[in-house]
Amino acid sequence: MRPTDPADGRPPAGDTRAGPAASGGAGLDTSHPVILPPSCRRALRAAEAETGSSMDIKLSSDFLTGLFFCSLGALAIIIGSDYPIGTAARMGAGYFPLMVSSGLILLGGILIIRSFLTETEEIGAIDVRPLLLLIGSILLFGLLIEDWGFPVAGLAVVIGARIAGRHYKPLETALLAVGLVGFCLVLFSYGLGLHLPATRLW
Amino acid sequence: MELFNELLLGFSVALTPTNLLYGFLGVLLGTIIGVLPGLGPVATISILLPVTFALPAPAALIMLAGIYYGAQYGGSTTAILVNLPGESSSVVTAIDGYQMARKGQAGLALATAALCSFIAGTLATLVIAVAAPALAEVALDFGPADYFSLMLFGLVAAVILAHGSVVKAIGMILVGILLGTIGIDANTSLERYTFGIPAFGDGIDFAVIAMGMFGIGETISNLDQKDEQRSFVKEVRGLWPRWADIRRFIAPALRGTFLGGCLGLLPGGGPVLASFSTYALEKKLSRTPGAFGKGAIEGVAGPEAANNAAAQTAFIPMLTLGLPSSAVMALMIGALMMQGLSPGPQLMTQRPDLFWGLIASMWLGNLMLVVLNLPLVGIWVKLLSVPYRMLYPAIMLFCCIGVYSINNNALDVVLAAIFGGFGYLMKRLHCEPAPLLLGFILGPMIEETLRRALLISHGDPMVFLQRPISLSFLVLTVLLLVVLVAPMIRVTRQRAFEESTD
Repeated sequence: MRPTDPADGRPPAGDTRAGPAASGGAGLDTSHPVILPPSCRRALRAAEAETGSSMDIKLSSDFLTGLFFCSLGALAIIIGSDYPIGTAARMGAGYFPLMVSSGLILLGGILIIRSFLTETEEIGAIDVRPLLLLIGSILLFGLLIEDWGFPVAGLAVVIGARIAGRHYKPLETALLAVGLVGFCLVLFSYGLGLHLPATRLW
Repeated sequence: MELFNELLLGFSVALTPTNLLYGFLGVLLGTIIGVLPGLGPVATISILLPVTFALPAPAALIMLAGIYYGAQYGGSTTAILVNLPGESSSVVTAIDGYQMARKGQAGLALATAALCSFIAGTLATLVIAVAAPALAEVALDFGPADYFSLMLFGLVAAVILAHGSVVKAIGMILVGILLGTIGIDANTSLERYTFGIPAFGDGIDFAVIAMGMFGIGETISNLDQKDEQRSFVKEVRGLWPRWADIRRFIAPALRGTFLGGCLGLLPGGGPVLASFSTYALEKKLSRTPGAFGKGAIEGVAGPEAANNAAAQTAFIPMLTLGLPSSAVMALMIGALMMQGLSPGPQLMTQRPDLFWGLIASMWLGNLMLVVLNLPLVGIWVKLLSVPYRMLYPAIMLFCCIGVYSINNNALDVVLAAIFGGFGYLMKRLHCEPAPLLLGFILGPMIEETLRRALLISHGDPMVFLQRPISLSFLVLTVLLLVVLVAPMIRVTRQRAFEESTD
């Protein structure tokens, strides 16, 4: 435990989830400093400092969805602006994507307008911790698998995924990781004949 | 007796020892993964899909069909024992099934679900064997314009599949179509949205999207949910139904099969629609409607039969027209394409072994379910008692291995992680991932048929209205849209009125 941890200035009461999340976060910092990419840890700490690992978004979900649809459509049109359009009878590569993107922008517009006219649901609290850690651990698997081999990447994803959840226990996690990776190695590599890169330690 | 010869051919394919083994393996694996809470058939199939890539086409399809049935039955098991439906079609099973389990009739509920699914599966397989060839003959007359309108109809119908906002569901379809345009354009061989990455030339693998959005995305949402106390039934006794029980559930099962079989033909949400409407029907027909919701065996039998029948007949549009009517069928089409086969009316004439083998294995899969699951129910109960914190890291590891082994490409894993985060965020925005997957699968086909139809008509869009088949699908599409949007307008207007009178 870092000595600064208890004095983080978190509200002691009110947010009931601050407790377990905070101790889990501390556990991850000390016992597995290598597992997480620094950017991920920074984002996590920033998020935790805000509201104790979860983000409460007060925006309407319709508005945000509309915004997303519009920006994706616009992005697709911009990237595809140099694809030839052609005519209806002889469509170029850009014709169909342009149609779909315009449709997307139209729908996004409807959603945005609707979000101002009617009361819509707020998005509410998003737990950043499982999101970032789980995605991070799978990304780590992707980054490690080619150069470090399956056993290392497999251990990384199991440990990372386990940290992403609640009630993280180091010993249990280590046993689980070793057991699962061994099981998969036997089942997939030897049993089903999948090609998984091996780890060479020397 | 042509039908019998063809069915015989099918059984001769399905009954070879290796194929039988793969079918069995599929049912077993499907049930193992499907029984895990929070993983429905779509997620299960996505996770297990890469395992089938290395197999020859008939074995792969037979295994996939087995996985599908196993996953569905596994979902019902979870619904009955834990009250945690893996997907929307087993929501109804959970209502009365869980109550039965709490009354100490867990075994009976599980057996009822299995037997009714088997009855429905047998009848629906026969329907497929009779109806599919006839429909495929009709489908041979379809021109590009007809296909285009049909797929448009299918996509709009898929909106029923999504819960909540129609606009968002259509938006997700369009996002899926847009993702489908990534890669080298087939007609002009121009690279679209590849960002100069050579691996994007063939487009994104649909298994990457499916596994990311369903496998990884669902797990994030499960972790996000606050610790809930799951009370589940550990004791399963009295597995075999008595004669009196059979007499009670046989009629609802048959009614459910009929209703489900018909609704399953409709593109979009067949099993869901089927199980809900059958439940409503049984409640209406029952002499003791008050017993529903408190553990009525009819409330398990009818919907289980209906969703299985619908799940089977959903294969008809898929096999004859190449049109997926649900996310599961979209996955099946994806799997067929991976094997280098294009689903559609030609499949039956080009690969009769495959077509009839699949139909035969559907029935065998249903049989295996009964044979396998009733004795093994104790194991599934054990599996359910493994805490989720031990299960989901394993699921993540399987996802990673699965995605990586599609092309032995680490980029796919990175993409799947991104789609996992995307899927989770979209879910929080109340956008369902299923329409996106459907759009992604159908998108390239839609573009192709649109281009061809307009090329033939020299750019005249009237071609879609002049061809009778195309016109009727377009009319159906418009009707469907009106039906979908009308209640929304009414509700919005009502809300507006209420606000103005306040």
